[in-house]
Amino acid sequence: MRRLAPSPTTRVEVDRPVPFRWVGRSIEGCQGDTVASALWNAGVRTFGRSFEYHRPRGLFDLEGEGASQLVAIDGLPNQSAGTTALRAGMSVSAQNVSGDPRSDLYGVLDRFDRWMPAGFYYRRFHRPYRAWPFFQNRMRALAGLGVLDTSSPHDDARRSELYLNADVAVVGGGVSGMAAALAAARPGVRVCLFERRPWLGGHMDWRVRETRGERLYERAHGLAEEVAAHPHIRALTAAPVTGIWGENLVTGFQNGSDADGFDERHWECRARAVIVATGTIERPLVFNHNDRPGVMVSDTAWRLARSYAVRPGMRAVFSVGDDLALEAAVDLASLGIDVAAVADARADGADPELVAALERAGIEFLPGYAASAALGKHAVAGVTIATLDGSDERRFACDLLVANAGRQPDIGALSSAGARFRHSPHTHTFEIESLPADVFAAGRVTGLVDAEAIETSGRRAGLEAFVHLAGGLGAAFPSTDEPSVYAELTKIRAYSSELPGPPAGCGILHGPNLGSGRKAFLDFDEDGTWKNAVQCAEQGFDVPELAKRFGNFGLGPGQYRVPGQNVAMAMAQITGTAIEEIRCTTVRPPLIAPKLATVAGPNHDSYKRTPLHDDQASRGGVFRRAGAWQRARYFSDDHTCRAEIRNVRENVGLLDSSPLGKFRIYGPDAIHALQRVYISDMTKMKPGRCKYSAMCNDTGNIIDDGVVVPMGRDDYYFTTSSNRAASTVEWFRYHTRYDGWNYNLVNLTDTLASINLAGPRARDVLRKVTDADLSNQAFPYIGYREIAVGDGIAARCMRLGFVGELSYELHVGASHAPHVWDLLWSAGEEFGIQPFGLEAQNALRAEKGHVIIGAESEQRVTLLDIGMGWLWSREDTASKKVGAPALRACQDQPNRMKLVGFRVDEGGGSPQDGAIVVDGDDILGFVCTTRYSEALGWQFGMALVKERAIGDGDVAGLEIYENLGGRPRRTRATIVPPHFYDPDGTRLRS
Amino acid sequence: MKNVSEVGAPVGGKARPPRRSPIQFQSVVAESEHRGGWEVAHRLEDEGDGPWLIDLSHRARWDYQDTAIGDHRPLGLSVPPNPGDVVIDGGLVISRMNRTQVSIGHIGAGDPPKTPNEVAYTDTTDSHAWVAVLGAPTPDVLEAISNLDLFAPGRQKPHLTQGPVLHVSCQVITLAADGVLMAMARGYGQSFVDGVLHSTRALDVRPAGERRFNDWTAGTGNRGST
Repeated sequence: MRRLAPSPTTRVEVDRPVPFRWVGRSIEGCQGDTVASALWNAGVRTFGRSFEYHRPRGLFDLEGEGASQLVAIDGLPNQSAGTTALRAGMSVSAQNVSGDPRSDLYGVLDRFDRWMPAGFYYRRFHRPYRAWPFFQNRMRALAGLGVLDTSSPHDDARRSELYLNADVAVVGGGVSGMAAALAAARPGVRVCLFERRPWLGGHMDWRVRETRGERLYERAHGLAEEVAAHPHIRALTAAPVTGIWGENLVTGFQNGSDADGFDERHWECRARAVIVATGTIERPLVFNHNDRPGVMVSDTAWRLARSYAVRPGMRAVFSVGDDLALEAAVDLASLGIDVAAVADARADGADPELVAALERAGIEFLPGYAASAALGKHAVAGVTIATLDGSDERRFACDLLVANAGRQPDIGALSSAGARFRHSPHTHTFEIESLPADVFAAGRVTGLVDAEAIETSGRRAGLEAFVHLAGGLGAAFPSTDEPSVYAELTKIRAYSSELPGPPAGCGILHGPNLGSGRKAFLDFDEDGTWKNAVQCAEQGFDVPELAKRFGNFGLGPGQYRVPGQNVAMAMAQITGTAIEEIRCTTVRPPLIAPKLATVAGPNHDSYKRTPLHDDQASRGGVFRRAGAWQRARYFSDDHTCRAEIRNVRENVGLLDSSPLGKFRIYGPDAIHALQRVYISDMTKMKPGRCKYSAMCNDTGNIIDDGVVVPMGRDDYYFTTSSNRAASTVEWFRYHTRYDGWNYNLVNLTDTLASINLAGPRARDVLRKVTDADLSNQAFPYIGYREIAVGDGIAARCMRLGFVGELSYELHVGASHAPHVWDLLWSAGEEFGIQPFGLEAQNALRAEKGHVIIGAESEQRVTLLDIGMGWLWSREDTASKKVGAPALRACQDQPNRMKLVGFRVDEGGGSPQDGAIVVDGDDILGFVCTTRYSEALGWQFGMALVKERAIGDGDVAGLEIYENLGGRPRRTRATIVPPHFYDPDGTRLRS
Repeated sequence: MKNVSEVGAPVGGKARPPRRSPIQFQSVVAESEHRGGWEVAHRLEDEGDGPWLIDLSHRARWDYQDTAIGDHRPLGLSVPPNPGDVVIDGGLVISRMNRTQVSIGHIGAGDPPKTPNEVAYTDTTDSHAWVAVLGAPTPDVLEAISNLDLFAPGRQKPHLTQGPVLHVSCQVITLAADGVLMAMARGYGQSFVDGVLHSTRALDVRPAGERRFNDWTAGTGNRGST
């Protein structure tokens, strides 16, 4: 279709064609088009099919407010045709369509609405209940919106995030929003302004009406230039707001172009004050077939013509209820569009100047009339207009029916910010009743219509926000122009009261001669009709909150913003309740839905790598996430790690244990702090020896274990488990917070790498890289030495035995660790050194019967329950050890869960970690860790079980139950002491 | 007994054993030197015009704690009076972390000072990955990766902010509108810089060598395009 002649409000470049494809055929739009404007200009009227009845749907709004204009673009469904910028080469297709969108195969469903009353989904097909999944799956296949094409390309790199901080955030870039931003933006005050359209200006961007000697679009463009040039204002366009959250966190997304480097980016702005200037949206008029392609709200028709130079129709009829729509009719007529008639649901109250303009344009004006039905099968071919009482009915042929029931404030953002609303009998809208202290409203969202009043309200809101930031009038201002701000605000408050306030609104809900309303839609997204609303009320769901859920009103992509007021009005009318008694239900974020991928953000992972990550990777390490760390779990495809285990038992292995928590604590009260958090008597530490102990929480649960080494006067070094490293400092501080002790903590977890050299040849290897005396006499088990390794790298060396073999744990500076690893590797080659990973370590320590906190312990068990009560210094009450009172209280409790070892009976198979221990139908506990031991030649394990399962000292058995993919398996095991391998500790002391 | 500052350091006056930074950029090193066991990249190929991401993990850092910290002059520096305050003096940057703790880093030319033999010092060079973001679009880079308010107009620079960047706890020193330093736990270093480069592709952030940082601190270098 030939475009209209460009005008100063035109936002497209008609001489720059943009080719794209629509359901397989080539179409041309132009630079600046949205997908919707390009399709409409190309004569496409049916964009897709509706959610439930598969009715044809076309362009209703250009704001992305509903499901009618959702399309699939390049395989990505549910894209808003109205707001998505057209790009060359796009492939656009209709949604919820079988075949061609104009002749959808499932369009026949529209005839079966009688069998699909409100809430039918909850009531039909449930008996027998077994049948429900069958019907559910078929209904889901027929209903719904787009289908994700998982084979389409998806570029992670084009996701982005933007985090802003502002003193004032302005939501809405119309004239009032821009005026607010300009008024608030002063030296030292940062203002962020968010506009959902690709340009600033709001509804004045396309209005050519002259007010006070200036055309409205000229005023809007002038303000936009001021905003763009202002050093303290940051304006984001094409950036819809999705919600306003606690502490004034404003969130949204921004549509990007190729040049921006992102397709859609999530943004959020933490502000000290928020100004909402979101304007109004048109309230849909409910009449029969009000969803036909060709029915649209007035802003859509107007913007198509003024912003996109697209002819919205050849012959138009208006059935509206506000002056802006009358202005649109006059303007469209001036652009050459045949406007056959304008029906105004208001019997009086229309702007006389506009009425006169209609008359001058030769447009028939019908006050007190409204549309009763759209005519035409696939698209609008005519309309029936009637007086509100239905007594006088007239028909017009047309291909464009511009319809609304007046305007309602766009309250979504305010609602999410916590504003309250009440119905006004004057404006017939839900007006603002109250606002949070740091949220302000401006412009048409407050009900204003007069252009000067709108702009003034913006300036006032900006100043009010500025004053709020400064702590109120008279308080210290952040800038130096306090007197001028004070004077300006006082003046503008007075001036505001002289300007026109909100005019009377239109109270119409539905057109005349509605009948049952079975094809008159309250909610376009989910095909909620007037008849459905009646059915909701008849079944007791007679208030908006209930009807919303039972009848699916406002649960679609448009949320409650568009149908919300109409549903409230409908329920009031159907039930005979005064509308003033009905509360507008909450509008929930996202007000406009971004892509889930946009919310997810860039697809990168923040994790920790040990200093030896690359060295292990080069030796075949297979990494798995362990808390914050990526750790080598295996070094082969054999996940039982038999070879790794065997090598540690027979030769020598290297383990990277760097994530182990490592801390320095020093100061005159350091020992007191250690006494508080460790359960043992820490005063008994000896130089050159490690002191093994544990930490409990207040309920006596063991939460950590490790060793402490005295390093000097009032100076100690201690280790924690990897998982507790991040919370250890806070743990110490919390449990000594009232003592005023003088001690300091330094987290050295990342500072020092930890290399565990374990196996009978460990001493032989270490001897080759150090001159230190490593003999058993000079450096015994549990000893601590500081040694020089290789070229003289200082290392803290602990002789420990977690895996049950002769072991040395070397703590070296992280940056030196790769070099030390290489030294040990070279030295150990002749002894068969190999790396081993976490899984091998787990099996080795379990063979030895050493526990891992969290594996062999949990919330219900204490230090005593897992057989580590020997660590507890029972006599020490002066230190107020964390957990000691709880241990004392429960030490004699009967039938607690206890840690036991078990041996799976011969032929019993290999149960898995986590399997439950049962006695008939009674669950007695669970398996903590179980493995097959090559060294022992049998399957062993540890389990936490109720004490009664253990018996009275005789040999007792356990029954382990597992459900393996629906197949139950019971395994018999015998309880044995949990020290399976080298129970005397000969090997680790050798 | 040795202070942790001595662990990992060579003993006996031998040649410096090699040390490895937690950060490895994909870029090709164009110029480098061996310094104290580290291979320090002076310049990388294809550094672009900024903004730049520079690895400073080889630079010395210390933790200093004392309950009466205001009475002390660690490494001869005045302790900033309030948490968040930062002082740069003599090639060292000292940041007040909290009531009892400061963090000190070496950002100047030449060798860093030796760690004094006092209990309050802990050498934390190996504790952190330390990076700089430099160039005019630095605020844009930070806005893409953190919600911290690092460039509040009313806050005097340099200043310290402690909080998450790319979900990783960081010490961020805002040096100027076109330069920040970020220190995070060493283990996060590689995934952190990978995340920065990934998240800011649209801003064309590129890895750069230490010379960019030295030029910037000297105030003579190209501070990047605007």
